Amino acid sequence: MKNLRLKAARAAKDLSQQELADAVGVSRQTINAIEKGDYNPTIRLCAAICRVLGKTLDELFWEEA
Amino acid sequence: MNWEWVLGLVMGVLAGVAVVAAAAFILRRKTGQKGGVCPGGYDERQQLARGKAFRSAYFTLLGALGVWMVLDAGEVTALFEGVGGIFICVCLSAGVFAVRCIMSDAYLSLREKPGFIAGLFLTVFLLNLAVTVANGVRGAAFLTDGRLSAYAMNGVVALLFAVILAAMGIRRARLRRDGD
Repeated sequence: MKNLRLKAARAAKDLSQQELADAVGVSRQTINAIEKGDYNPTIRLCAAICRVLGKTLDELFWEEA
Repeated sequence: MNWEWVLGLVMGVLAGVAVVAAAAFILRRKTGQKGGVCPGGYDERQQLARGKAFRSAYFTLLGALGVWMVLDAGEVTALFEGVGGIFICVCLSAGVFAVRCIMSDAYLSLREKPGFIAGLFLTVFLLNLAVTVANGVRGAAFLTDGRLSAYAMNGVVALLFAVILAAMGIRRARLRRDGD
């Protein structure tokens, strides 16, 4: 499932995928894969992304069943 | 034993080691990385993808060696002379690993420069192609009794690097198309 909340949060911060990737120490393709729902990041990476984007884990990654 | 052949093999291996060592040195100087050509700079998704690629390459190698052993055994005519069959199996396995990694963007670490690596691979491809052409021009037999000889091995390596370069090109084109 696509993670549109992550994409929206990144866009709100005016960050490109590459800039977010550099900030959290992964490749641009990894950020792209997370946004497209092709890859489930570890909690460590989720936390790093949340820190950079100023969001909580719930806001970006929690999915209601 | 043909000592000339053994000497050539040893010199070839040493030349390969020298090229890799030089490339690692240059890469380390350019990127400030320690740890050689493959520093541990892969992110978590890349490590996962590389693990899957390694598993595919491992089973490809096992399968290819099994086929080669069957072909080499008994009355079945072997396709390759000497250790050529094993060499081709290793190249096939390396190709599977490289292509799977490239297609999942896990071949290069975060700090490696794609342009530099592509240039390095292009050089290896051209060198092996040149050796193959030179062997052909001086009349070396690529086939001996219907089996691929050691002279064909540079062609096999050239083919491997051509496949890797093609995979890099295709992946790059796809990434450009699906841009941010």
